[in-house]
Amino acid sequence: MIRTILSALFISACLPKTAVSQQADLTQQVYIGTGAYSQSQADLFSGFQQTAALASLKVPGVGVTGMRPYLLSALSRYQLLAAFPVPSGTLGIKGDLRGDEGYTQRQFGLSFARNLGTKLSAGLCFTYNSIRIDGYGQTGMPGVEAGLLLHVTSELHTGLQLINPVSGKWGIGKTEKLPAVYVFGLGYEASSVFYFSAEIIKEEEQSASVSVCFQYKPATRLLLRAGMGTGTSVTWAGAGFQMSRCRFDVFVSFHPQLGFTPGTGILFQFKK
Amino acid sequence: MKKVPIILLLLSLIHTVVSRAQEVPEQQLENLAAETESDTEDDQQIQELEHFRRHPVNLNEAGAEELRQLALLNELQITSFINYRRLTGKLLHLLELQAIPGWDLATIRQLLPYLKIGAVMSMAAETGQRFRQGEHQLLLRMGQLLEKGIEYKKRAEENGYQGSPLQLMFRYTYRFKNSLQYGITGDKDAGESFFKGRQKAGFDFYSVHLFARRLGIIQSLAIGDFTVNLGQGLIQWQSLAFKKSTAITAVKRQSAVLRPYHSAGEFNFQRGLGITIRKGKLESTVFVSLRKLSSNINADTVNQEDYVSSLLTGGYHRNNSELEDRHNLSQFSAGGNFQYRLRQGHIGWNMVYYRYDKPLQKRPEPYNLFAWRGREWKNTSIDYSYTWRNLHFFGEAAIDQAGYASLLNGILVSTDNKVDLSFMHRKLSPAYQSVQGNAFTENTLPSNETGFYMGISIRPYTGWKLDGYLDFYRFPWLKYRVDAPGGGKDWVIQLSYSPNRETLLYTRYRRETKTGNEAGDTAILHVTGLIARESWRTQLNYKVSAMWTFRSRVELVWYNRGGVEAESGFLGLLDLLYKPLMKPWSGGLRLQYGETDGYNSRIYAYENDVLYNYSIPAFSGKGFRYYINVQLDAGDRLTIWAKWAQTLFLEKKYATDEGEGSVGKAGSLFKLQLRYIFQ
Repeated sequence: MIRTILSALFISACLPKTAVSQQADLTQQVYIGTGAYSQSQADLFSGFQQTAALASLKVPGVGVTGMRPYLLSALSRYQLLAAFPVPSGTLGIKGDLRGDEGYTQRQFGLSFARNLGTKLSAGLCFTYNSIRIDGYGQTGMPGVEAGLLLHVTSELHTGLQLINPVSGKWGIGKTEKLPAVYVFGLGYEASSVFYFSAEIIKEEEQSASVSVCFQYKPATRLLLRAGMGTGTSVTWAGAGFQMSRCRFDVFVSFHPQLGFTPGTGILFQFKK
Repeated sequence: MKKVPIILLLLSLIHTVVSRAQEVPEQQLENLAAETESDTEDDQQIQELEHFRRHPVNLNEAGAEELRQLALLNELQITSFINYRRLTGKLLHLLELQAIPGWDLATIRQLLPYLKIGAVMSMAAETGQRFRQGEHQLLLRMGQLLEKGIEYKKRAEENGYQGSPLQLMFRYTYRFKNSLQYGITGDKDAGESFFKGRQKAGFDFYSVHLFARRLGIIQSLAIGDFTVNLGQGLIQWQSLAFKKSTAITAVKRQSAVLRPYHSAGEFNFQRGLGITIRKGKLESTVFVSLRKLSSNINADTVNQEDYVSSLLTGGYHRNNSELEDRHNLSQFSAGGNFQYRLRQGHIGWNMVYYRYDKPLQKRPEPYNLFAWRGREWKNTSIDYSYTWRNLHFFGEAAIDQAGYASLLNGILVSTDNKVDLSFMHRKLSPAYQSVQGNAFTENTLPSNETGFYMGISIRPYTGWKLDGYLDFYRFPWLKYRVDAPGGGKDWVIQLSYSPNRETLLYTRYRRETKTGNEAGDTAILHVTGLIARESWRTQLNYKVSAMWTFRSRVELVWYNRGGVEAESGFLGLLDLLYKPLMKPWSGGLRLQYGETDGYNSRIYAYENDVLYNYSIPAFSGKGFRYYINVQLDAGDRLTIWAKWAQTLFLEKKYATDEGEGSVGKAGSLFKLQLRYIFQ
């Protein structure tokens, strides 16, 4: 019963004027997105936090993640990500599925990113978003994400990400729209083993939130990440273990009222 | 010869010092716009910088006054330069600037476009050139908000605007170096008639000035329109002056007493004659002025005498009621300054006298209890400054006609190359009044305030800078919209990182808490409480290549967080500036998104505009704003600027913008400016 109420509360929180809270998305995936504002620390996952970061990828890769927000199976989320460097840049594909049979949210995206000289990277992602809710029906809407990364120095990188800056109306009665989200972030690579980043995330009709995180590599095969975000008052930590071309990630976030969100990810990089 | 090794030593460092585009104090202008809720029309400072960009200051003949005109150096840096030149002789190269104590790399970068090293020209040789070898400049600016406000649709009898929404400004100036200048300015605001109706002479406002410097013992001679700036502004300050910002050493007011006036603003100037004479260590300034002002006049049926309830400073004469108030009050003013100048400082005595042909009497509100009333008003003060080693002391003590006093004292400290400090204490009686005062106070007018300010600037490592200030203040009496004695404090901290000359990244947090009327209270005297306003800004300026410059900013604002009618605001913007090499044109583009809960959480953002024009619109509501700027050098003499700006509101919320038509979904502004220079 409690689970059902919490699920309903969460869904209603995600359905204000805008149908889907992107801010919640971004703060949920900060662990896997760490490294977005970097060139040497960027990986396949960070390319989906900041579209332009895909341009830093040198080899093809594929990854899956799974998480269970607040230990509620009704909110389970799964992502499939893949990227392929091509001569003119990097192509990416993402699929995102969350919810259960009562509430299902899907996103499919196709991305392209490339470096524009040595100081600038840009990326664009076209998405298709759909929602299905029992008793409500199903609806869908295309969206767009545009990212820009500035490599100010070899250590300092900043970026902008615009998600759905303009959107048509969707849903029953055409009263809902994809929320616009504006993200400003910066990352600082203090050394080859320590990296720090911060983001300001502003979603339409929501309070702006700030997330900060760091990554530390105590050993070649091990990375540790931790951070916090003000948007949903979440604190998180995780670790990644590199084995050959495969990396296994485990992470957990904590919300003071809603509790823990465990997650895991597998990233595989192909040969060049 | 001694200087050659120094120059060679510095050569390896100075390669990073390059000319930058003209820099304006954006932060101070934004603070000023937030305080006055309007853009300033005083473009004197930007005119000076543009003049010095085209005709750089010769450091071998510049005096302290000329360096103060740049408004880019604090008093310690100016004194340091004068002492350096006195001890080492003429400068040989601009590379030498880094050897001057207190001149850091950031300051030099700002200054370089405006400085040169040259031979000293004798005054006699220059005299013959003044009227022949100067530069003539014609400027024409027009702008219009395309959406017509409701006032344009009304007839004149319904108090509608009688003119077109076109804004027009023209200015002709002749200037020879810093020695002689004269010119005329005409200005028509949107809604004012032009060559018809009540404005048969064309522009609603004309300003004429002639200003000469260095005529023997006459240091300055002003005929026509000019400004008078005395001491620290307790009794008189008419030039553009800023208040608190992260430029912590700019707490001191510094300017020549007389300055030429040729801006489009219609209030802050004198019209008459002013002269400054210097003989040895003595300097004296005298001025007289007679001009018409616009005011609200009320009829006093008891005493059978009309009185003025308020002076109208906006300069708008668009409809019948504004036209009836136009120039209905005569103001005579006179005053002056007597200074004893030392090498390291000065002591001066100042006096101003104002007389009107109708008595002034403000509305009988409690906060106006001490407002001055009557036909005339006098203020006098003593001001001082003194530099001792790395300390600069300054201050002013003033008294008004009624005997009420004000005191302001400050210290600038340059502890070493890494740390600057500033302190200022002020104690201004709630009954102290001045007509044209503008001091470094929290209040707009210098009155009713006791406070203490501390500022610090630290440069711990190359490229890093930490600036901050803390200011406590009390208001012993009521103020406008503050129905009880109160006070407050505000503080700022800003961390800047500039790893190279192409990059500046800073983040700044500001919190201001001060007494205000509680919202929703409808009593005659409201309940007051402490209201906090916080803002956090992060900005990156990054020159990506020789042609492209990128600038992005994110600002968050919280108003009365956790309190009654709390609001929050967000503004994010992206600027792209493009200046192709060896091409006569350049341009810029801004894209901005803003979302605020209301007007109290509005956010000001400085905009690049046509030259000599400030644009700092406040954004409130929810929507996008963008503008496009283009500059074209059409030959050596003609330069054209154009700007197109538009705000697209996503929701119908009240939003301030430039001029009329601010309510609605879009405010579209077009500006065009032409400048023609000839000799």
